[in-house]
Amino acid sequence: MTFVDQPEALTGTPTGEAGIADVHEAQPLGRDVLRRFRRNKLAMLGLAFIVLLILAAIFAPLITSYDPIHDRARGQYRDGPSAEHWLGTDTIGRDVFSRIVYGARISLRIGILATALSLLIGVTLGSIAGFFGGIIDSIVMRITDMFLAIPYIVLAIAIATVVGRGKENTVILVLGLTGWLAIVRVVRATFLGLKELEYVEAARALGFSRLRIMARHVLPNALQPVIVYGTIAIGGVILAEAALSFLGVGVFDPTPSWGLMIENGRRDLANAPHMLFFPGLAVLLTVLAFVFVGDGLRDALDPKLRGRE
Amino acid sequence: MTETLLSVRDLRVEFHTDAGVVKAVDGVSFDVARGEVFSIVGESGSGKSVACMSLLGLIPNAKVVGGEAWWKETDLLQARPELLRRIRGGEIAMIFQDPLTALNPVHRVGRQIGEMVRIHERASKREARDRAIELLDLVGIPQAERRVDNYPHEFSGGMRQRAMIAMAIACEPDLLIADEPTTALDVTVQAQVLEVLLEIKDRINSAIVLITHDLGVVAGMADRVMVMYAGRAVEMGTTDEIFYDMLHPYTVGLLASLPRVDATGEELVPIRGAPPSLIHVPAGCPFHPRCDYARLPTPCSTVVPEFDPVPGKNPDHRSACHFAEELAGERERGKARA
Repeated sequence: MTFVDQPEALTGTPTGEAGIADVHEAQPLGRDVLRRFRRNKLAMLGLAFIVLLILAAIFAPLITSYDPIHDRARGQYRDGPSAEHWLGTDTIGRDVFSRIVYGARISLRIGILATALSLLIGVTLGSIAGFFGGIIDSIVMRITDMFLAIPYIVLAIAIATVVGRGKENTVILVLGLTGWLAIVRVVRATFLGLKELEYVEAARALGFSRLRIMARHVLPNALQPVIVYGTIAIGGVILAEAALSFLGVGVFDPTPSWGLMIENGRRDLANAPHMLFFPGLAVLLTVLAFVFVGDGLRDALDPKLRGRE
Repeated sequence: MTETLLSVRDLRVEFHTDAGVVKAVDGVSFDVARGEVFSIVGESGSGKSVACMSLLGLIPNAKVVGGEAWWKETDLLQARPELLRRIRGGEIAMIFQDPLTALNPVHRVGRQIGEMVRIHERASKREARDRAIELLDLVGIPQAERRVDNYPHEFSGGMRQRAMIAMAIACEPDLLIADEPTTALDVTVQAQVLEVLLEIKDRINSAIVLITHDLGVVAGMADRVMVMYAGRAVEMGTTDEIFYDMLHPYTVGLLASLPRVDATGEELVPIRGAPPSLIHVPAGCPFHPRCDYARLPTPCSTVVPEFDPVPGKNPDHRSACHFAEELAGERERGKARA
């Protein structure tokens, strides 16, 4: 007997069997995902904004001629927007636009590094808890619960006080060490669902070690929610950085941080609202952009929507 | 005499649930010899899958409470997990029921097959890939060198099951356990996949344990058959003996409930009642509440029948029925009349 399948089976259309595919079935981040992401206008807008922001952060000296820390316009304190200073000046005459542009460096660096730290901790603990279950699961989850029971700000201030306030690395550490709690839950829940699937059982039946099954077979399938959550979390972390700086446990002046600028602007809200408005807008737009991209990714990666036009 | 690969004696497996102790496998013994296809037949929940999977330590919450399972010089039931892991896949490989979910959707098919060779034989990436192509070709996937880089969703159901078979045979195991390998496939693909299995078995000189509820598949493939009911073996013999000289009322019922090409016009006879709960297995013979031949109350509802050869029959043909001899005699008289 010769084994030649149906001709359509040979062409291998990627969406051919979407209808009978398992709900958990992921597909490689291929053209399908890209195509669906591109169709989402808000997500593309968010992505464009983020790309713009990253470019601005990298090429900051080319965009603005003012140094955000040292250039002070004499006699121009708390001035509103003008041709010379597009977004005005602050209490000691520094250019607000230039501080926002340089502030993007801080915000993005903190957002990405702190999220990476949270993901590292959260994914590791979540995988272990979800995969091994039993007593290990209980221990990990109870530790997580303990952290959840402490008010976030109190925890952040406590960590900042211990590691030393005012440095950028401290802020990354604080936000990284407080951001993993939700990730543990997301990853653990995904693992619990995935490890019941037959391909995990099949991998066991074929003699794969537990570690290998966890790292190579379950984890890649659990990455979808992690990618989505991580993207949205970057926005959240940028917001949290602003909040910490506002409360005085973030970075210190003269570092150009958006949160710090908002804090300074608050004092002059009545006579110089631009000092609060523009950095606030920067935070708002950046956070929104990350949320839109995260949402877009969620929809694009959702296997239930696969093949739907 | 052929080499005995696997020898299971008095295997007992239980699940402890809130509702009580489920005796999923209750004293089952069988041997599998190199080169043969040994089939385990039974309804859903008769313990056929549990019996095989518990041998390999694949059911985490099952308790093996008794018995031995000799594989070469090792008692699988006593083996350390590390040794068991090497045997799984390397010496005993499993083929699963549903190829649609048994392949990992995020990895290329070739990589999944190659992974077997890489972990069990420490092959390099390059060797693993070549081996994967070779294996895909062997199981009849056309254009294997192109297909090796496909993802599972780009394969049809039959192709995925072949890919699963390719994975299972990657290390040339001595025993293939196929758990309902064709249930999820349609009939034409079924035949092809079974053919591939048989070919492969002869090529690598292994044995197959075929777990199924499909008697059609059994008739076409198996050399010997064990019929299970409520966690126990009720009849065991060659395929011909089971189909033409059955010595247990349950086997009789199973076959009577099947449509046959050579018996047009006859009505199908279902087995009345439903399989028993394995928490409260009926006393005596577990089949007696559904049996047309049962003599009640004694011995059928009081004495557990021994699983023994029947006088006057092949000594390897066993039945767990108090009246196996009468059953055989009655059929012979029936044949004589006809």
